[in-house]
Amino acid sequence: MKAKLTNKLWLVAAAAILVGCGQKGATGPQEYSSARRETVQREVQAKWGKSLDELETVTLVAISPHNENIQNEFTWAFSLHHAKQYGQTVHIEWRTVGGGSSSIVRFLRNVYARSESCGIDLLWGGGEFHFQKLAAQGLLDPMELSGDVLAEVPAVFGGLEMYDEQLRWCGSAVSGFGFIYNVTMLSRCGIDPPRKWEDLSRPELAGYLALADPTQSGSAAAAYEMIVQSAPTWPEGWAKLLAILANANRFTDSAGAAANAPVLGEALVATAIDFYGATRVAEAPEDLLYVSPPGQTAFSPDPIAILKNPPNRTLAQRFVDFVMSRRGQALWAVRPGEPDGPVRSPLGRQPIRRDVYEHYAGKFSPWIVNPYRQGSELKLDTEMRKVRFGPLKLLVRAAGIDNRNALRAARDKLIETNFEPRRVRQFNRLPKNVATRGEIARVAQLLKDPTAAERILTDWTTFFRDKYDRISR
Amino acid sequence: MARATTARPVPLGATIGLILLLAALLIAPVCLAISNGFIRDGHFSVYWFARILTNNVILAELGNGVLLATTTTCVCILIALPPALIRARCRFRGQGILAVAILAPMILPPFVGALSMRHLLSQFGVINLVLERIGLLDSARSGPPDWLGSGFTGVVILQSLHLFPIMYLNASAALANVDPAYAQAARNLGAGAGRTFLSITLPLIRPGLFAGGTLIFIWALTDLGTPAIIGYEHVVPVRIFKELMNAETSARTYSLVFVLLSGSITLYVLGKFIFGRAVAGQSSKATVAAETRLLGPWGTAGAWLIFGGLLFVALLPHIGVVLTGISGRWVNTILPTKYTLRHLSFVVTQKETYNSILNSLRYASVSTGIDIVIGCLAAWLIVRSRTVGKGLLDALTMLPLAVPGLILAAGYVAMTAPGTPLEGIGPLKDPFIILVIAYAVRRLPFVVRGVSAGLQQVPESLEEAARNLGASKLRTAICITAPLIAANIVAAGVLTFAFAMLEVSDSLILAQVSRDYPITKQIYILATSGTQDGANVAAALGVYGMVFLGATLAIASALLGRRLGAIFRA
Repeated sequence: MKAKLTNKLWLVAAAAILVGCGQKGATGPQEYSSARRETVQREVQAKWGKSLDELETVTLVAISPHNENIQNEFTWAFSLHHAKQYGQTVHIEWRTVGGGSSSIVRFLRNVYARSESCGIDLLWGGGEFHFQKLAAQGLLDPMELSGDVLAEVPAVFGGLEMYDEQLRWCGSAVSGFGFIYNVTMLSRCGIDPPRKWEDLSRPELAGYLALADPTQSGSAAAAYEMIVQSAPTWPEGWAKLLAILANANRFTDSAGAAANAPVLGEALVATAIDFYGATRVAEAPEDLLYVSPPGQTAFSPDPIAILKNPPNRTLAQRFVDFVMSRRGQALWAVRPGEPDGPVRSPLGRQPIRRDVYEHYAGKFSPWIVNPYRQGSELKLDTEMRKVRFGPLKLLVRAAGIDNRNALRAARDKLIETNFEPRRVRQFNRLPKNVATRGEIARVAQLLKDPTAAERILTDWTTFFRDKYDRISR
Repeated sequence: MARATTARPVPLGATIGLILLLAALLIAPVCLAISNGFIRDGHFSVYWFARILTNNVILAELGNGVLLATTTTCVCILIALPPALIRARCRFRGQGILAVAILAPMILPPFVGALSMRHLLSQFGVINLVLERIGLLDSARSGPPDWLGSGFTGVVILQSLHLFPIMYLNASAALANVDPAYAQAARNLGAGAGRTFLSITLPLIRPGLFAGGTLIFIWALTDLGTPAIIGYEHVVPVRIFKELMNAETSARTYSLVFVLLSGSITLYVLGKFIFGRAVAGQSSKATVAAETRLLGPWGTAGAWLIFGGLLFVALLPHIGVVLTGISGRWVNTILPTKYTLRHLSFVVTQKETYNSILNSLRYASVSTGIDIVIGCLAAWLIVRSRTVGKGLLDALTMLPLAVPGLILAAGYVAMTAPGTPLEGIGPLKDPFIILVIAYAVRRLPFVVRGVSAGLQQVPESLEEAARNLGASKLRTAICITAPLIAANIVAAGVLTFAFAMLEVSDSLILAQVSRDYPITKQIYILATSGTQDGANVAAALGVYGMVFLGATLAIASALLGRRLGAIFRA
């Protein structure tokens, strides 16, 4: 009987193989294979005297939190570009370690602690903060960027570095932050749409807001820092953020998942990176809207870097060159179907090169904005951002995530008592060790030690829980 | 009744062999993973352990986990017993189809199933839209109800709908193996149907219920995927997962793993001594023909209503996955407003996605084969032999249920790290072997429990009779024991294969190169990609997964014929 069952299992496997074999050899969607590939085929034949399939294939290994769409589009485009230029097709091996940029950084540090090379050529995507740290630890190799490229990328924009001065990393695209909301459902519930960050803390939005966990999502951490910096002082910024946290009905692990919440009907509003927000809106433009709060957001770079002792440095440099070329930059924003655009679906991100916006004018997806024309009205205090990065993530975790129910109860009490000043003061109070800039810097240093970090987080969690309980009484 | 004594050297050798094997494949990686939790400043220390025991937030999360597991187990018993009773006691038209269909909830792919439940139950989700459409809800006047609540209810619903077939299978098997003579005797002595069930049948099927209950309880206690996707963060597995995903993991995390591990083992051991003692000599086969009643039209309709209603609710997540897989637009509406086959065709035109399906089939079928061989041997040693160390073997085979897959996987990563002798089978080289081992270790308890339950209910007197007539031990095992528990083995195999196909944690961490991704990792990558149609493509992949797993059950049905209906009735 068991033998029969095993036979049956292999029968299913064989069926799967048959399905699979029918498609084998396809390197991408049909339209891609048929149209663009043929053009390149002719060029390759003319230049190298071989068909694409006869060319040697070389392998590039990359690790990236970027989604599959981005990975696929750049793989297809770069492989053809490389075939034309160098007579070799490229297979890109995308590594993942089961998480976002934080997991990747942890993985790289662990591997480099044991060996001189991690067997990976490129690191691409995530907050520039991670790249700064890896560069400081000597885990990134300087790359080469031509004067033409650097002339089109500002060194600093909105207070943020767009590339490392030693070229150990360079921004490949820029992202803004804002929120996406369900227009139809907000209107059905009789709630005015939010316009600014502080609108997300309005009592009528209580329980209707989806946020991402900053300890899991680097972009969420960056967005919370912007919310804090959009207020004049740290205590005011924290109060603004805490009121928003109190309205959350869930904290997702990734910024993309939070942006899905208004689409799935799980929340009315969610904070989102611009390209997540914009691609969701494209799905149902009459039901959804993405807003970048004017004067309250900054554009941050999405870097690319060559890792220390890469297996194939030349190929890694060529990939960087391609990503930073006009052609590579166009992939981010040009509509599918346009000559230099993506094949399958829009990637919806803002190129970092200024000239690309003029060169491909009129060919972009409708939601792409030119950040350099729009201007980044929020000038970030980048030093403070660096210092506060670790402490703020853990404060949000202690105040909002680990104490979510107690926070909701305390906030309900504030609403019920019409924001009685004494309770509001108590609600907004910060732990003593993060009250001032100097204290935050000291805590940031302490957090580098896991033992101290655990103790601090536990103390903060207790601090907030006790405070919320007192307010709710 | 004299117990058969086994030739000591063989069972002892086999027991020691299995214990050593499990020690190498389970204990060693787990020890590697949690050893950090007991080291502080380079020395052994219980500092982190003490920190956990004095942390109210973590203690509350441990309490939440126990409450969650208890609730899910109770709900599973409540919803699985009625159909199991009908199945055991009645015959009606279409029974065979329903017997197979009721296993379908188990083939729910991870991540996308929870996503579709969220789409269904969320505040502005499908159910509330239906209520609004029929006039029972007015969003403008009052906020729509949040069926998922803090997430606890949602997790219980999803876990119960996913896991109740385990209880159904175990209860069915136990009921089928109860000698009807006992119930007849009770009825002859004047007991009513209810009293007979409570006083006679229930105690007799207790080992079966316990077998299912233990699996469900520990599964629910250590489940990571459902609470994480539903958004119920206040349980320990989610905390461990999130902390492990951080750039700097505190040693406390590893200590927390130890606490969860110890808690699961303690509960299991307590449960075993209080509820799980085998009812020796109470159950038997073939003394009296099973008493089944042929239902009339109304009875058949009632049975269909119970099975059908349960199936409809249990299959809602599946329906959601299919709809998501073929939807072109589904925002603010009860059903999608545009349909497309784009996502389904993308899955088979894209090398990565169809490779993942083939990979999963390879990993799951090989690991299931390993599980059946090791599991049957272990079950026989645990139930039948009287050898030294069988208690330890029993505990070891159950241990994988209490070990979060992520920790086991982290251990395998450490064992195959660059520079170690096993580097060649590490996640970055060729992880086939460690993935198969991880799948096999994680699912071994299913086979051991399934086969043990069968062995417990096969009277030893039948084997003794064979031995008295001169049959060798091997011949007795092949000619007497194996046929009697064959259905248990097949059922355990099908379960193991299905769950190996759906294995989450090991897949996430051990498959790091896209060519090695199994289907679950590919679904995870797509579902969390945040791209415009990532969830749709993930759901489309989920649809293929469900079709393959459904085909597994269907082909098993074709091969076994009517015996599949009696999958636990051998």
